[in-house]
Amino acid sequence: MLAYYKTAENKNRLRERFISIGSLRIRLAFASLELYDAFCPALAHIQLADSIDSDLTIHVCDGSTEASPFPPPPWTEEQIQRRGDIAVPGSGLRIFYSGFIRSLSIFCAEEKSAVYWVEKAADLPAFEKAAPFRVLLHWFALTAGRMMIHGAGIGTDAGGIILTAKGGSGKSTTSLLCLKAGLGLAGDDYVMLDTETPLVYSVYATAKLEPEQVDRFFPDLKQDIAFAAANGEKAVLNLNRLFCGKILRRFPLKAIVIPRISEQEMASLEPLAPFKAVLAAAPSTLLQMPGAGAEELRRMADVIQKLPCYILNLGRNMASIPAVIRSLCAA
Amino acid sequence: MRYRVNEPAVAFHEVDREIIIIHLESGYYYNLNAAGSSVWKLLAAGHEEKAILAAADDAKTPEKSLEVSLREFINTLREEDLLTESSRDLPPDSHAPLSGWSDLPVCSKFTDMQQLLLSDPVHDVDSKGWPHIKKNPE
Repeated sequence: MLAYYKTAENKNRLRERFISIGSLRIRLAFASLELYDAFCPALAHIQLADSIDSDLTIHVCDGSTEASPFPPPPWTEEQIQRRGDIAVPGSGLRIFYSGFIRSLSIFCAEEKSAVYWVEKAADLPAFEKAAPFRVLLHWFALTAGRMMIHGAGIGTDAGGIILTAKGGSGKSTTSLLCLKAGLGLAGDDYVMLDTETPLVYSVYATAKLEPEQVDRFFPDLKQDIAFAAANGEKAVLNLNRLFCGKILRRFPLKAIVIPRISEQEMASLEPLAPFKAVLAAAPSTLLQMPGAGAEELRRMADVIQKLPCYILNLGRNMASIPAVIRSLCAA
Repeated sequence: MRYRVNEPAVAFHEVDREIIIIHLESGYYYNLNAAGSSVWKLLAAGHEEKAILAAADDAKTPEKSLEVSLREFINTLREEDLLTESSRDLPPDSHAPLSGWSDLPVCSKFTDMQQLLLSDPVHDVDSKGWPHIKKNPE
């Protein structure tokens, strides 16, 4: 695959970007202008001004070059698992193939190298542009005691929470309400978590919302829609313009919060037993992350058991939500 | 009959004496109560099913349906593909250490995350093979 990438790089101009997620430094080598334009906005807040020695290089290319035949896969269809991860024992590689996006991600920890390929850059769904390379970044994070978490990171530099639940449960709406009320955000859908410290790191400065939610709750953010909703997808908002000072690079994790839509007037918190918090938080992360399994479940459970956990009842008075979350960040 | 956990398709972890199980291929996840977690740990450690059932009988709990509940519980774990039969050679069980029963074993199943697995990575591939996809998958 690297040879295929090199062919694309020779044909197209190489565009480089360097990003840092805490102490982890990553070089992005684009051999595709379309993918460069699609992925860089979400990562702009963690972009470095200068080139650096990196801990990982992600080589990014697409199938438009047709400069060389696509290499035949060294695996059989039977080796492709339910979530798209491909088991190639003894190869030292972690591989993910998405039939939906038509993309391939390959990670080699030993070589500090990865490849991201997509058949047609023009067909990328908005959710991929909102959170690029998340599978590769998860595998890379595991080598440094971290992991990607499906959840929103909300708080201040002094501390914050992870708001985690399946899609449609109010994570993004709550995140944007908190941002507009003056709290900071490390991510609305995915954050990176150091499971030892535990520190939350920002990876993406985007938010995903249903178009009607933008109209109803955040009409002033319409001009910040980076990628419009299409084919039933959510719209992707770029948070860098309006909230650049409020995108938190990292914060200490103080609590785990599970949102619940409720009929009560004001938002409120209920203590939640750790096993219920693990039950509510872990499946959405593990089921979305190819190859994730017992190790990720253990890490999440260990962190959650050390922290206070709550149900956040999202009341009808949505303006009451940020104050409740702020009280946890200050605890 | 002995069993083993259906790894790596199944991930599990104990939190507060309750076992949380995620089936990574079906998208279903499960919670075993404390009694169910005790049975799970015995089965996962390779104890024979009949030894566990015999121990339940020996326990002489006032709950008459304990043995029936245990059979149903173990059948559920098998049917949900959480456990598979194992032929590993372990020393014979005299008594599986069952004690302190206060509840019947319960396996709660949750199905609300299955949509996360709806995009199938394999079956939309067309006759040209990987990585080409059917343009109009059936």
